[in-house]
Formats: sequence, structure tokens, C-alpha cells
Amino acid sequence: MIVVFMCEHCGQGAANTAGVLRMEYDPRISIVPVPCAGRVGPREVLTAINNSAEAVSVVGCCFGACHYSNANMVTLRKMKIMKKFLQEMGYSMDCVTMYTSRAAEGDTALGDFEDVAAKADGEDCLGAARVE
Amino acid sequence: MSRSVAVLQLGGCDRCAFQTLAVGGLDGYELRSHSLLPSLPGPESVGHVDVLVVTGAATTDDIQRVQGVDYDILVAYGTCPVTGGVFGLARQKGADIIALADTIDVDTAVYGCPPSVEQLEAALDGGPGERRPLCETCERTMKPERMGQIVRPLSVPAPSECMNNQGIPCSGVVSLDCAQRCVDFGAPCRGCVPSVADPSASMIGYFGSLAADVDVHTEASEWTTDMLGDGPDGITEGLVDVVGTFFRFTLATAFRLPGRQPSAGSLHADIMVGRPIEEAPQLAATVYGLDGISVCLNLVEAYESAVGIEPSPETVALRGRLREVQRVLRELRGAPDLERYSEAVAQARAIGGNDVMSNVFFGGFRTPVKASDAPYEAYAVPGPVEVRAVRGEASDDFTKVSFTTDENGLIREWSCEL
Ligand code: SF4
Ligand code: SF4
Repeated sequence: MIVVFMCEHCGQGAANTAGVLRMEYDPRISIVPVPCAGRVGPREVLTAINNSAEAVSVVGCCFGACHYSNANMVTLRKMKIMKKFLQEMGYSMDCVTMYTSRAAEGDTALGDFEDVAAKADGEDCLGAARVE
Repeated sequence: MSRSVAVLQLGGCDRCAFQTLAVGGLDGYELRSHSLLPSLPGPESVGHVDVLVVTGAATTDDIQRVQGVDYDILVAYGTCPVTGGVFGLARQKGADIIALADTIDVDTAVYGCPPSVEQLEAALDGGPGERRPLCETCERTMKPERMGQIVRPLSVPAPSECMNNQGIPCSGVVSLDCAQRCVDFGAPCRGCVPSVADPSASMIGYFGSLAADVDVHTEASEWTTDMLGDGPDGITEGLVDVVGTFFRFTLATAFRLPGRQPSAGSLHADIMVGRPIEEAPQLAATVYGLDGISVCLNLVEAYESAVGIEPSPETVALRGRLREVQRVLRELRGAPDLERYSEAVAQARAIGGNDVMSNVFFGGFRTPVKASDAPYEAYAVPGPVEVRAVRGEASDDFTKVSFTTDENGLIREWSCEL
């Protein structure tokens, strides 16, 4: 399972737009709605991974467009620390990602999903490690 | 009627096991078995005991050893048996270290690396008692301000301002008051006594929020939105060792997958490799237990000579006194004696600050030494320690240390002969 936290503004907005247009995305993706990307932190990432997520991602509003005083930019730093953590543990940085999307444009969310799914299949990713 | 107690020392260092020798002298308790006392029978052959105290870090096989003892109450003494402790860091290289408390019900957990004998007595009498948050007891002042950049503690942090405000991660915010109090000796807390259920995640969350202005690499995606980048930035350059900084005592519980870094050759090397030089003296003093003073000082002196730091005569003299204590501790390894041990540790603390030598640093001591009459300037840390790729080697009467660092000052190879 790939856990994607999506903020209720741009993130879920873009996913809804994609849904209305019947765009398809990787079935492994499981969307967890959150009020804001700022709601997601290391605890959510580690909980997902410890419960066998292959990859964890956060999708928030565009930089500068956060609905809660730039909380997405705060999460950006936390996710970078988690990326570095995975790398130091010998896993690919790709297993934790963070994106932005635009509510009116479904393909921005789809682009994010495709990238997350492609990266989750890479070498040294969490999914591959679990299969071994 | 007195309660019967067995003490089972698993892996790890011997500090906690030494402290548990105190049970032998406690009114109302009868020590039936103790891993350090071969004159007593093993814990599996003493029949039923009221209390089993386990110390040290566990491997998968240790689950059976504990289950083989017939006890009513299980006390996990020290951070190791509870979370895997500092030995859990070896999991980064795939080592088998587990948090015993994950598989076996622990009735009382006494956190601390190491705790104190008073805490052991309190635990046997029904509970470890209330502890205050570490920050409440810390002399530094916190400000609700973001940091401009992340800082490695290569010199002694300013004594009045919270280290997190100075850009240096300090886990005091997720910790309770403890027996070692690294923060009193100019060293950031690494969280051996957590105050919350998931200290590592909480601490990264806290520090990440304070770091919200620190430069972070972003890039535009092909589908025209922005995303977080993998490139070097203020986060990766400031946090050279996320594992050792935020997961120092929690790696075996906070992250369930085994690390995939290659083993560095031994359990201790697996802990030391990857750690930045500024954290290494205290870490070595911790994991080498009763030999910790010697390993810590050899490491410091080897790096000093490699980068050209000349310690002052008073610094050298104080280290000499620490090595006198080391001599006593070495003798005690074959002949455990709590009274002599406690005396020696008290002497070591009067110089090195605490049991894990938080006051020892490159070039001098981080804070004034209780046991010295000389003015502080005579042995103060002279300035920031330089980070460089070096090969270091040093030995004394007790241990021989050799290692290499990379250009970032991270330990890349490590070996130590005891
Ligand atoms: S975080 Fe550390 S330095 Fe800051 S107040 Fe707490 S214990 Fe002191
Ligand atoms: S100050 Fe040191 S001994 Fe105390 S909880 Fe923090 S790391 Fe542990």
C-alpha cells in the first residue's frame, strides 16, 4: 500500500477533479484526507511505514498558497528529515515524498500519483525490502 | 517475609547490572541470582522468584532466556531492555537488537542510560515515582522563535539559551529529568528517558517546525507543480546523522524494518560508524560501559592529534585522574563490588560530569569541573573542533582505539581492542 496524505484544499481538490474526469491511477494508492499538509509529520510517516506501507507521500497546496499560514512549508522540512533518515538506514529517499497540486487541475494530482508509484518500485525501496 | 529477586543481565554495557548489585543490601529483599555473581545459581535454576530484574540490550534469543525464569513481576532496568536503547543503533547495520518490552509484558520500566540506584529501589517498592520534564529543570531559556540554520555542536553551546533555539537539536523537550543530565554539561540531550510515547517522531516534528526557515531543496515537476527535492540543503547539511541524533535510544522501537547499511564488523562498530565526531566521545563512554572512560579518552586524544589540537596541562592532568578511576573500574570487572563501584563512579562524575562523560570534549572540558581547583580557563574547550577526514589511533593501559572519519567528520571505520 502507498499512503498519500492529501490536504482538503488543493490536494483533495485535484484528486476530486481527476475523479470527475474519470482519470485512473495506481490502485495501490490509498488516500488519507487531512485538513492541511501541516497536519502530517514524522509520526504519521513512521506509523505508515511500521504498518507496512511501501511508500508515504504528502500532497499539499502550492508553495505560498497554503490555507494555514504556510504549514505546508513546515512539513516540507520534516519530510526532508525523514528522507534523510531512510537514506541513512540504507533505503531509498524516494519512499518518502512531498508534492503540491492545483485543485482545478486533476492532472497535477495524477502526475504526483504516477511519480509516487514509480518511485515506490525503485531499488532499495521499502516494498522490495519486505519481499526479501 | 522478604521478596526474592533474580537479576538477568542480557547484552549491553555492565553499568545497570552493577547498579542492581544494590539489591543484595536492601532490607526486605533476597538476591537469589545475579548474572555478575557466579557464586549464585543461574536465574533459570532458582525456582520461583518474586521479581526478575533484566538489564542490558536484548537479542531475539533473549526472549526465551527471560521466559525461562519463573517470576511474578518483571522490572526492565535501564533504557536498553525497554526500547533496545543505545544498542538499538546497531540495527542501522542490520544487527539483531530488539526492544524486549515489545514481546514480553514489563511491569515496571526504569528508563535511564544509566538510571540511579535510588530509582531501582523506588521501582522495587512499587513504581519509579514522578519525574519532571527535563526542560523544566534545565537552566536554559526557551524562546518561541525559529532558527536560521541548523548547527552541529562542534563547540560548547551558549549556556543561557535553549540549544534548539541555537539550532542544535536537543531532545530535552521529549524527555524527563534523569540521572545523567547531559544538558548540565554542555551536551544536548539525546533522550534516554522519554516523556512521550513516540519521542523520536515528536522530536523531529518539534525540531522541523523550528527549522521552518532553514533552506530546503525543492524542484519543479514535469507536470508543473513544485515538489520536495532530494538534493543537499540546509537540512541535510545541518543534520549529518538523523539516526544517531533523533533515534539514539529508540531505533529498535520507532522503526520496525532492519537497517540495510553493511555491518562495520562488530556490534560496537555498528553503533559507532556513521556517528559524527562531536557525538562520539559520549557515545563511546556509554556503550563501552566499564571501559568507557578509556575508550572515550583514547578516541578524543586520537582525533586531537590527528587535527592538531593540543590539550592544556590541566586538561591532561584531569584526564589522568579519570584514567585512575578507569583502573579501579577495570579491576571491578572480575570482582564486582557495589561500594567500590559507586565510589569510582562518583569520582568519575566529579570530573567527567556524569556516568557517560558528557563533560569530556576535544581540547578540554565543556563546563567547570567539580573536582578541580584550577580556574576554568585552564582546561576549558578552546574552540570548535574541526571536521576532517582523518585516521586516528590511540591506546592506554586499558584499550586501543582506531578509526577513520570522512570529510564531514563522520566515523567511517571503527575498531577497539579491550
Ligand atoms: S530542549 Fe534541551 S536545552 Fe532546551 S530547555 Fe530543554 S533540556 Fe534545555
Ligand atoms: S540528558 Fe542524557 S542521560 Fe538524560 S535523558 Fe537526555 S540523553 Fe539521557
